[in-house]
Amino acid sequence: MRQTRRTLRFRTLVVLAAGLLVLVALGVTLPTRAQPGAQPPGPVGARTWQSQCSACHMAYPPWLLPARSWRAIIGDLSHHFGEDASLSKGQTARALAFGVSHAADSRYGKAKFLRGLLPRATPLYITDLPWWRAKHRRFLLSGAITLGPGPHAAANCGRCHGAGRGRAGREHGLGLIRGGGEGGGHEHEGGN
Amino acid sequence: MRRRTVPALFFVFFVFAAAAAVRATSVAQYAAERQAILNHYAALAKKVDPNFKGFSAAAGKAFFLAHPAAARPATPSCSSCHTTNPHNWGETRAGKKIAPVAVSVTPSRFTDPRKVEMWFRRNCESVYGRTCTAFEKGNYITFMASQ
Repeated sequence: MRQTRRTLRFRTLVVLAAGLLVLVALGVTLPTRAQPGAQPPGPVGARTWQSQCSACHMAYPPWLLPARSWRAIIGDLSHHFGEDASLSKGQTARALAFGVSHAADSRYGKAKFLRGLLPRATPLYITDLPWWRAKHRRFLLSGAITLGPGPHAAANCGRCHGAGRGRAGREHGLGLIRGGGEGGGHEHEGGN
Repeated sequence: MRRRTVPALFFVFFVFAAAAAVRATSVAQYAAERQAILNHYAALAKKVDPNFKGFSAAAGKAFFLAHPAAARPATPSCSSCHTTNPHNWGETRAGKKIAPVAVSVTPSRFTDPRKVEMWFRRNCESVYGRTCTAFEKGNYITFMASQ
């Protein structure tokens, strides 16, 4: 009797281990494709913004540039800072809708982000905002962050701000748009 | 006890075999999807050149490594971002990692026609200053599938 019980327990263990292996195997090997219709509800263009922008760089929070900037940037994606980053017509429209509806001069932005900016100026870089320059002056002076490409590029907000960590992370919503953050590490299956 | 262990081990072996089969199936499915894309480009190539015999991995490699005169300054070659070895991880100018283009490393490469067309459209414009031909796209995929 005792023998049978022990055997039973052993078999249960084997079956459980096998089941776990099957689950792991399926999870690892099954190709993951976006399931149409399984999209979480959200503002128009949020998914496009997140998935398409972050194919090449972090999806910048739209509330850090005014609507006119997003019109200029998303209106000419074929010449996107030296590269062709064009999207389909539908994707372009959705990304523009999200950028404009969540811009710095929308209800998602703050007046201070645009302080000191000439009303007719259309900044193409967040780093061109006087507010941003003032906030980051000492890091720019010390070389802790640099404009342009490189390991200290200011373009990579997440290197210092993490996934929305810290005051800037909370206040400016960095990290609320996922897929941003550290330039490295994020697997990008994009370019095929 | 021992009598019971042997079938249990068989069962574990069976589970491993099943997992391997699932992986093989997904790779085979990717290969089939990739072949469908290649067939599409081959059909386009045949329309242009009735004597078209098939795509060339060597031509695809040369295309990948070339530094075209019409390239935009930021992107002189495919290899500027993808590195000269398709098995390597690449990096966008903004510092984002790009999964290796070699199919042996990233089996899901060239399996989604819309994605393939989108990236050829953008990157051909950036590196070659024009759209790519069906010959070039087919050669490129053939080269990457051989890597």
